[in-house]
Amino acid sequence: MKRLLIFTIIIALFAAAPASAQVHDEDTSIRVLGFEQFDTNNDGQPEQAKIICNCISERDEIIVVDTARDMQPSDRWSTGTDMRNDIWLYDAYGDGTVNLIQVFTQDENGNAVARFYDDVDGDGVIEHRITRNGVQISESEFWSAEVTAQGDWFRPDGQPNLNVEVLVDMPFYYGGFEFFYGVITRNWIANDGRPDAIYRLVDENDDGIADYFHKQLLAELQTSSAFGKGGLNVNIGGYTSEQIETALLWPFLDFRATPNARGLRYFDVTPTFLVDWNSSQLQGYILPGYPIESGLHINSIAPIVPNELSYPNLEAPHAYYDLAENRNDQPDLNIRILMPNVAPNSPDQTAFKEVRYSWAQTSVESLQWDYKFGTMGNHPFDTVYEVGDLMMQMVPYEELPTWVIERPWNLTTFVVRESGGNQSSEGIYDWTPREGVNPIQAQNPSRAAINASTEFLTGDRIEPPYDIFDSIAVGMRGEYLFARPTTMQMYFSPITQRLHMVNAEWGLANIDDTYRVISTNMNEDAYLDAWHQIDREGVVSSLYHLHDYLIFADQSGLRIKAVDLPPALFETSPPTDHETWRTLGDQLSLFQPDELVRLDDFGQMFNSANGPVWNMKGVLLKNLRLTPYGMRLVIEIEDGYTSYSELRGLNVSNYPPGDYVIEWDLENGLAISPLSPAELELQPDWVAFSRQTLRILDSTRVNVRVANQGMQDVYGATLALYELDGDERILVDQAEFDIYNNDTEEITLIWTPRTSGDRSLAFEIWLPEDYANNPPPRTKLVLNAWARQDAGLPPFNPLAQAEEDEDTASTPVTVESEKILATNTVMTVSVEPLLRVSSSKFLSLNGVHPLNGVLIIIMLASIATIGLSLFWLITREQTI
Amino acid sequence: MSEAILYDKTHNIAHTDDTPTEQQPSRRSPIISPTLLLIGLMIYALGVYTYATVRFDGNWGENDTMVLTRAIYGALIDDTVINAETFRYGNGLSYQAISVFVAEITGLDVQTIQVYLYPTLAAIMLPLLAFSAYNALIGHRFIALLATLLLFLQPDFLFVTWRGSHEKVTWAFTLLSLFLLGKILQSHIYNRDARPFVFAFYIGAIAMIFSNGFFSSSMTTALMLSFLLGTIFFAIRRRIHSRLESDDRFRLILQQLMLVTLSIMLLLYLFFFHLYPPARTLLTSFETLIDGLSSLFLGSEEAVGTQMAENYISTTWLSLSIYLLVSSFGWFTLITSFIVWLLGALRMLFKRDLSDLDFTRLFLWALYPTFAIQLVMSVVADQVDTFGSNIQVRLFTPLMLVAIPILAIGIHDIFQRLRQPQLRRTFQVAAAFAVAGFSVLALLKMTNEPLISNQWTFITDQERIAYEWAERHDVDRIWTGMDQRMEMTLAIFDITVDLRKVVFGLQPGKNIRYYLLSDLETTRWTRRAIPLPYLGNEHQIYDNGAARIYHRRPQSIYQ
Repeated sequence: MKRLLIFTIIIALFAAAPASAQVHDEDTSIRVLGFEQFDTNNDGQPEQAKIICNCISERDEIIVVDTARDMQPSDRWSTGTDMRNDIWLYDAYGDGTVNLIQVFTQDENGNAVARFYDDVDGDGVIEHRITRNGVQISESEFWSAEVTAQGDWFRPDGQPNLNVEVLVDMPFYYGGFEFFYGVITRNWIANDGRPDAIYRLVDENDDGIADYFHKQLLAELQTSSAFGKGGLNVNIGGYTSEQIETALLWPFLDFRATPNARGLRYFDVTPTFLVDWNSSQLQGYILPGYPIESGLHINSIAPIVPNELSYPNLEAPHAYYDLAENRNDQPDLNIRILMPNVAPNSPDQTAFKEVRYSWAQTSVESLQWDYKFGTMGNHPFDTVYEVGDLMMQMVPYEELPTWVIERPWNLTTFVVRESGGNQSSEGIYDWTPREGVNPIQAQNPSRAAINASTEFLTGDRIEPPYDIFDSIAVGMRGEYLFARPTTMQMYFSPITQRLHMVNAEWGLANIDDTYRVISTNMNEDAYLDAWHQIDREGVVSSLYHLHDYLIFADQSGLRIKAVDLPPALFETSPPTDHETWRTLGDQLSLFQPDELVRLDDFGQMFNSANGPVWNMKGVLLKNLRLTPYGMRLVIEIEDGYTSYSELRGLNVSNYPPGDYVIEWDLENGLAISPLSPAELELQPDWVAFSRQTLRILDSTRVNVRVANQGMQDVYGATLALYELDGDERILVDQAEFDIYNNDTEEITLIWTPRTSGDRSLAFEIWLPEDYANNPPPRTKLVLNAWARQDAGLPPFNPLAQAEEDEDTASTPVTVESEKILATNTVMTVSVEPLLRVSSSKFLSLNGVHPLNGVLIIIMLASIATIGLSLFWLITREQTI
Repeated sequence: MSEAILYDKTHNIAHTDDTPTEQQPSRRSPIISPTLLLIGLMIYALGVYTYATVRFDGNWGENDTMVLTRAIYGALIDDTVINAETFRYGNGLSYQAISVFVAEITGLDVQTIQVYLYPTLAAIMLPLLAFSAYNALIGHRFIALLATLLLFLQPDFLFVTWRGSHEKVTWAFTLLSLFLLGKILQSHIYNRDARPFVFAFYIGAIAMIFSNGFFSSSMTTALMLSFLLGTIFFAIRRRIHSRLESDDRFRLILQQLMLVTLSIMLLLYLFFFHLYPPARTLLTSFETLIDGLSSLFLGSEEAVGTQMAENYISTTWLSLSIYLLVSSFGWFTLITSFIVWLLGALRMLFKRDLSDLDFTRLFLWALYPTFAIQLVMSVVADQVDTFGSNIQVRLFTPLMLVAIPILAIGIHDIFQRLRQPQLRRTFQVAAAFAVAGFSVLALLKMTNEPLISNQWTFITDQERIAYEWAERHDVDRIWTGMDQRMEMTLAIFDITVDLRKVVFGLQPGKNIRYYLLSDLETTRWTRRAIPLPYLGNEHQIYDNGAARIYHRRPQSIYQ
C-alpha cells in the first residue's frame, strides 16, 4: 500500500506541476538530421537506409533494412523507408550498438504489425546479423512485444491509428500493473514465447478519438498475489490523442518517454513504449499522463477480461468530472473508490469500501481541491458498467456521484481546505476514514487506522476510531461522524460563515502553528454548536451557540448574546454535476463574504451577530454543560468584575470574588450560588451483589452507588475495590466515572472470590488533580499529538499503545498523584467454599449415566486380565 | 538351558551351524503355539483400542487426528494429495493416500475410517509387525512375543497408534523396516540371498519417508548412527581382543548397510526437494537453520502441548504423583532397559567370539543409544524440562520401540537366572500382576482419563449440538473454553468447521462476541480451580440444558 501511495504521490507531483517548459524545449528540438540509402548488392536499388536523428542523444542512427525489395529511392526518410516490411535497427548514441530492433510486417488480414526484439540476456547487446534478405536475430527466438494496428499505423487524416493491440512477453517495470510490487514482474515474468500482458487502445467508432485503454496481465501469478492484474482508462471527455512530437518516427515509440506524467493528461497522446537505451531493454508500455479532466481509470487486482463479467477491485474507479464544464484539463470532481480487502478475483462486492469525494468549488484552474467527503462502508456494487467489450460489476461513471452521495456511509469525514494546500491528482488525502490523518505522510500509522476503523465496523472494537484523528495539516479543517451512518450533507453556518458537515460530532481545524480550533456538538443535533480555540497549553477561548444564545468566553471575560440565528442558512449535498456545482457556488457567493473571518476569531463572530448583550468583564467561564432545563455554568468572579446586561433578568451583580454556579433555567431565569466542593459518598448498604450466594471462583457483579452531595461536578473519578487479607490490600477491580453535582451514579465492578469464609472488602474513590475540569472532548488527544509533532515524534499509534498496555497490564495502578477522596468504606461478606466435583461425574462424563462408570471398570478389568493371561502364557515356557 | 541369549552363563556360542532353523531353546513343543499367542496379542490390542474409542462414545479428538482427517478430506475433494488446496498436510502423504484408497474402496466416510476402522486394522497389523521385527532382531519367538505384549503396555505408543495420525503407518513402516533389516542381517550371517529383503527394505523405507519425512529423517539418522556405533564397537573390540576373524565379516556387513542407509538419505533428499514440495515449504519455513536441522534430524514436527510445556504436568494431570504413576511403565522401561543394555554391551565387548545371534542383537544394542541421544538432543533443543510434553510426542516412541525388546531380553534372562522353580513362579506371578496394572495405567494415560487428567480430548453431544446451533445461526467467532478440546473434536467430525471461528483460552479475547459454555467445561474449570470468565453481563441466547451460548452485550451499533 505504501508503494501505491508513493507511486501516486509521484504521479500527483508530476501531474500537478505546470506543464514543463524544459521538456517542451527539448521536444521542439527533436528532428531528423539526415537520411541516406545504400545499394548493398549493386542492383541499382537501395536495400538499406540510415536515419540520423537526435532522438535520444545528439546523434542516433536507425538502420532500416528492406526485406521485400520495395525500398523506394528517396532523400526523405518518410518515403525512403516503410513500416510494412522493413526492419528498423535503433542505434542510440550512434556507437554501432543496436539497442532495439523493430520488425515491421503484416498479418494475414493485412493489419500492420510491429515486433520488438530487445536484449534478453542482460549483456546490453541484441545478438543479430544483417543478411542479404533481412536481419537474422539470434538474441531470442521470441519477440518481446508485438504491436498490431487494425489497418495501417496511420489514419487517412495522418493521425495515428487508435485501434492498436500490444502483446508483451518480457519482464517489465512499467506496465500499469506494478502499483504494488513492480519487482514481481522481473522475478516472475520471462521472455518465453507466452505473452505476459495485453494492452488495447480502442477507438470503437473509428472517429479518431480513443475510447478506452485496457490492460490485462496474462502471466499466471499466484492468485494470492496482490499484484495488479487489470487496468482500464476511459476517455469520457473525448479528448484527442495525438502523436507526441518526441515519438518522431513511429507514433507508439516516444524516444524520450518517461514513466511520469510530464504535465499531460491521459489520452492527450498515444500510448508508448518505454525503452532503456543504455541497457537495450524495453521497460514497458504506458499511457502517458495523469489524471484526466473527464474520465476514469481503474487499477485492479482482479483481472478485467473482455466479454465476461469482471469484478474490478482496489481502485475501482478513480473517476474525474469536469463540473465547471470549462474544458481546461483540470478535473473538478474526483471520486476514488478503494476496495482493498477483497481477495484477488473475488466477486465479493460487499467488502468495505473507502470513498474519497473531492471537489473544487473555486480552485478550478489547478489541481487543488476545496472540499472532500471521506467515507467508509460496504454498499455492494449491484450494477454492471460496460465499456466496449468490457463488463464490470461496478457503478457506471455517470451514476457514480449520485450513487455515492445518496447512500449512508458508516464512517464519514468532511475536509475543507481553508488556506494553502498542495495540488494533487487524486483529491484531498487528509482525514481518510480508513487510513487516518494523512495517508501519504510517511509516518502516518495507516495500519493502526485501518485496524481501528475496520474493527469498529466489524464490531471488534467498541470505540469509533476517534483516537486516530488527533491532528490535521495546517490550513485544513476536518469534521467527522463516526458514531452512526450518515449521508453526505453540508450546511452553511451563519456563525462561522462556512460549510460544515451535517451531523458532525467533532471537528478540528489547524489555523496555523499557534492555534487550532476544536468544534463539538454539545446538544448532539445536526449542527456543531461549540468552538474552542486552543494553543499548546489548552483552551484559550470558546464560542457557544446554544438555546439561541451566543456565548463567548476568553481570558478577559464572558459575553452572552441573545441571537435569532438559524443553525444553518442552507443545507445541501455535494455537487454531482455542473448544475448542482453551479448552484452551490451561487449559494456560497450569496452568503460567504469575500474576506472570510478567521475560524478562531470568535470575537468577530460574536460581534457579527445582532442581539442584546450581557457583558461580564473579570468573569471567567470555567465550565459549561447543558441541563434538561437549560445550561449550567461554573464561573469565577474576579475582584473588580463588571457586569452589564441588556438581557432582562440576567445579571450577576454584587457578588464577592469566588467560584459560582449559574443554573440557567431557560424558563425561570438564573439561580446563582457559590460553588461548594464535590462531596462523594459511598455507604456499605449501597453495595449489592449479583449473586445471592458468594462462592469461590464464582465471579459476581458488585454494584456500587456513589453520591455527589457537593456543587462541584466530578470528572474522571475512579472507584476501586480491594479485598483485604490481613494487612494486605489486593486490588480487585476499578472503574472510571463522572458524577454531576447532587447526583448519584451506579458503578459496576467484578469480583471473583478466591478464599472462603468472611472476607472484607474496601472501596476507594480516587480523584485526579483536575477532576473539576471538563475540557472539550478529545482536547487531550489533540494536545498530545501536537506535543509529539513538536518533539519530532511519530504520530500516536494505537497499535503500539495497545501492545504497551498489554505489556504493563499486570503493573499495579499508581495513585500517588491522585487525591483519595473516600476511604475505609469497608464491608464484610461471607464466601462459600468451592463446590466439590463428584468423581462419578467424570466417569460418566456428564454425570447422568453412572452405568458408564461401571462399564468402564469392567472393560479395564477385562483388558488387564487379557494382558495378565498373555504374559502368563508367554512366560510359562520359562517356568516349566 | 543352553540357548545363546546374551547372558548365557557358559559364554559359549549356542548355534554355530549356518542354519538358524530353530533358535528356540525348547526341547519340546510349546504348550500354546506362538501363533495363538500372537492372535491373543491382537485381541488384546483390539481391546485396548476399542476401549479408548468407546470411552468417549467416539466423540474424541486431538490435534493430529484433526489435521490428518482434514488432509484426507482435502485430498478426496481436490482429487490430489500433493496439490490439495482445501487442506494439506505438509510432512507426508502416505497416510492420506492410503486413506483415500480405503475410503474409495469401502465407501466409508473419513471420520468412520479414522475413528473406528483404523484402530481395528492397527490392532491386527501392529502386533504382527512388532512380533516379526522383534523376532528377526532377537532371534527368539517367545521373547519377541513378550516384547510385543510389553509394547502394547506403553501408553505413548498406544496413543499415537490409536489416534488418527500418520504415526499409525509411520510406526508400522518402521517396524517393517526393522524386520527387513533383521532379515538382511540374518541373510548375510547365514549366507543366504539378502537381495529380496534389501529390495523390500527400500520399498518399506520409501513408504516410511512418504508417511512423514521428518520422522523418517530422524529414523534414518538413527540407523546411520547405529551403524557408525557398530563400527566403533568393533574397533574397540579389536583393541581388546587379538585376531578376531569373525568380526571382519560383521564389519563388512555394517559397511554395506551404511551404504543402504545413504541410499535412503538420497531418497529423503528427493522427497523433500523434488517429490513432495509441501515438505520443502515446511523445511524452509523454519526461522533458523537450527530449527530446520533439529526438525530434520530429530524429527520434531510441531507438537501439541508445546505451549504448555513448562506447566505440562500441572495443566495436564491432577498431580505429579498421578503423572508419575501413569507414566511409570515408561520410566520403568527406560531404567531397566538401560541396565540390560549396559550389561549386554559390556559383555559383548569383552566376549571374545560373538555368535551370529549376538550380531543381530548388536543392531538393537546400537540403535538404543542413538535414539536415546536423539531424545536428549530434542529435549535440549526445545529447552523443555525432562517432564515436558514433547518427550512423549517426539522421540519417546522410537526409543521405546528398541528399549522394550531389550527389556524383554532382560526379563527372559531373569527367568533363566532364577534356578528355583518357586522363585520363578513368584517372579512370574508378580510380573503378571504388574502387567495387569500397567495395562490399566496405559489405558488411563492414552485416553487422558478425565478422572485424573486435565487434558481432555472429548466433547459431549450437548456441546456438539450447541455448536451446531451456533453455526446454523451464522455466529461469528465463538469462545469454547480453556483449550482446543472442542475445536479439535468438532473439526474432525465436521470438516466445514472454520477453525478461525472456534477460539479458546483462559480469557476470551476482547473481539469475541459469542461464548459457548457447557456444564462439562464449567466442571473442568471448577476442578482446576480456575475462575471462569465472567459472563453475567452477557445475553444468554441458547440453552440445551447442558450447554449454553452467550452473546456479548452490544456496546456499539455494529456489535
